[in-house]
Amino acid sequence: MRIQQLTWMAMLVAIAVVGSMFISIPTGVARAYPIQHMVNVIAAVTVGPIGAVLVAFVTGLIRVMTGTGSLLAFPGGMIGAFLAGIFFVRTNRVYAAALGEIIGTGVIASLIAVPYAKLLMGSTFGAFFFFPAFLASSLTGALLGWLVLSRIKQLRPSVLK
Amino acid sequence: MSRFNQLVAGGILLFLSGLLYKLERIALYIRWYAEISTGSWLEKPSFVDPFLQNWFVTLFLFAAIPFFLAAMNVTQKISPSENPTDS
Repeated sequence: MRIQQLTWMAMLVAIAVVGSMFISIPTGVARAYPIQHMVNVIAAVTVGPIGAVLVAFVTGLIRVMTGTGSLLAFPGGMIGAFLAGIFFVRTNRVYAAALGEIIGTGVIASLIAVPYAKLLMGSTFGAFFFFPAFLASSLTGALLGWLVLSRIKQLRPSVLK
Repeated sequence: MSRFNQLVAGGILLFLSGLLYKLERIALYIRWYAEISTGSWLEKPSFVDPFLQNWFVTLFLFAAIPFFLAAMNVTQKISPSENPTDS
């Protein structure tokens, strides 16, 4: 892995961690943190699925360690990042990465989060409890990531080559 | 940004605005049902305007408008050249 790529990934982690501290959207009884999902889409396009999962994992780890996120930061970030990366690798289209993030986080991760929360957090919720909050969060983040990437691509940084 | 992308972005923002509005209403009723279990409750849930309570509803709603307007402008600019028979 190149130093430049590692630096880019570290910057994405920093943006996700700091952004999650300041930007959150109230979604009824929960709160959504869209910056993580924006970073997931950008990471999926720039460093691929494995890099995106690594970025999501390190972001989740830092957020849990600093107390700014719950254990749900892991499934909420990593599944969407992986699917966004896979979708982008298959299609080479940015909107496909955003779609992968929405499906991965909004649908799959929200369903996986229910048994995950029961096992690790001891909380019991209905099957679709996380679905609206995760969907709102991933939709906002994916849209932001898509808009940011459309501008980044015009600048043509070396990480995109 | 192409017309399709602008329409998709506008549509997503509009959907998000509606979704957040609906979630606020659901949360309002959940609180009301919780009040019922305490024994004394209002006849109707104390309605607080979600537009004011959650300013992201308003933000996303107004953010969607420029995207739709831009998409319409693109159509107006492209249409005469793409369809010369129209003019």
